[in-house]
Amino acid sequence: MKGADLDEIEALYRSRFHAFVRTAAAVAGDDDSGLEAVQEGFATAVRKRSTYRGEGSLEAWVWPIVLNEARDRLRRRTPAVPGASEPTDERETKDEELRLALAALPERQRLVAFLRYYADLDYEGIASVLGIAPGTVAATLNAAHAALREHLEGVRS
Amino acid sequence: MTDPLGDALHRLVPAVAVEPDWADVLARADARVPLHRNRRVWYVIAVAAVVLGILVSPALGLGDRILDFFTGSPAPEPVKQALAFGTNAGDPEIDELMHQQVDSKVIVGQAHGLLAVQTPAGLLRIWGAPTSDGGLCTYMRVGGASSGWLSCETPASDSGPFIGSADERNEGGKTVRFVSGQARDEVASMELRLVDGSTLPVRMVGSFFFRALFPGQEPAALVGRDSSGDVVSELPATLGNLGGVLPPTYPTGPSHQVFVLATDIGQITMELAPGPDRKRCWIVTAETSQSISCRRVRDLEFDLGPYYNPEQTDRIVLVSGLVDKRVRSLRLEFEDAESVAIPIVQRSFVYELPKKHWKTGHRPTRLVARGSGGEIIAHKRVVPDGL
Repeated sequence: MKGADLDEIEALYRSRFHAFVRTAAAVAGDDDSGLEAVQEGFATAVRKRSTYRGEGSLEAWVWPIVLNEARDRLRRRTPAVPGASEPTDERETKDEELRLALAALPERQRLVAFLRYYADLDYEGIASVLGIAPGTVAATLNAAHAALREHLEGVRS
Repeated sequence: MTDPLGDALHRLVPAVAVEPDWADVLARADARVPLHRNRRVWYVIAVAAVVLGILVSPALGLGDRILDFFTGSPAPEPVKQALAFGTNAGDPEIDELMHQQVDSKVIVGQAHGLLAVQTPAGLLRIWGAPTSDGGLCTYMRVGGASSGWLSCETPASDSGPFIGSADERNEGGKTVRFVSGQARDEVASMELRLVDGSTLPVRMVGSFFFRALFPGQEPAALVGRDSSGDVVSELPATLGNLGGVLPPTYPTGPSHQVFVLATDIGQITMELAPGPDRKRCWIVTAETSQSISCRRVRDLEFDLGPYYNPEQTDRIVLVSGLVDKRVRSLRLEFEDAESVAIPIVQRSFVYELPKKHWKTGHRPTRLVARGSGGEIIAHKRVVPDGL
């Protein structure tokens, strides 16, 4: 076991802070929860840094910790009341459709999409975070694209 | 971003305008980090920069040159603090299971310089402090780095004339490779045999020995000799062979899931994947940690180690690994003469070790793999080197 250096964790936190917050916000459902997830996730990483085995990048080790924090916050959220906030224009309507389509995706597809677009991770990076093969990342992202396209076309037809 | 999905996602969750707050992270972490005292494990410890009364000539060059005047010099306070960290008892239950329970204390007052060695990554300084059980904690730091590596070892009574390993550490993009360890009194000199058959002398300071490795020097074996020059012991010295940091090996193809376990710390999955050089990989994933092992499986390969929940308030211990196609059954035997059959699925296995088998007198002793006729294909001792 290697153990992670506190300085390395801090450097990762500072250099990738906005990517972590944005992705965690997408998973948790709002910016505040995303920020909380990142702060708590990195605190957990600091506490358990001795368990980092050094078998992958430090970033790949920290991501699951933060994502789990974000998922916990999503679970604790009060479900939105349907119709409480009706979209007011075409753009908002499209965004709402997209949110619903995203929510309908399997969790792995959602995570792959978030890590690709919000965290700006490449296939190798996503594979390391999720513990799957890069080929699986590509296939999952393709499936997410297809599912969203199908969903949105279904909504509009 | 050019594809519609990307555009839409970026619109849905715009970039956030908050700033990082590292102090808040540290406050939440409340910074006491549990560590486990093992026979051979490296910790990375950040301490304040140390100012030493040593002037190093820039003309030292690269030659594994030893700066003798460093040896014996009292360790500065930040180094003592780092060495004192080795007393941290960590997790007593896991220590007991791993045959690592140590009641010793680091005798910080005796901390002193062991060696200063010029390496490709810069000047490497090594300090040491004895432990009350006859072991040694060492603290290494290269160049002007703000962090160093702590290693505490207490040779077991049955560990032979010396314990040691080859290790590799990275600092600022530079790599430090070395062999190090501890030898008993019967070992008068140490040498390192390289894969090309040549040998290099290994410096000894008391019980501690060390040799920096340079590009092209691939270690094969550590050899200890007595005062007559006779070989008293020889150990393979491939990188990480006795703990430390294994060179990373990653799967080379897609993985597929074989096991899903529901445990006290959440769901654990195990996946299989091909690895390089005819190795096979098994990937054990807990909620916030992952272990990837890639080995060439001649008969039986396994790991034993703890996995923690995110809060580190609970942990489990898993025995996981691979067998070759001849193996049809697997049995784990314990100190109390009990044994348990471990199911094999797709030439792999994972078993959660019950807590009753973490205790002295009940710990696992060996894994026995048998073929279709009941014949023993392999039996391996379950005595881990570290976590």
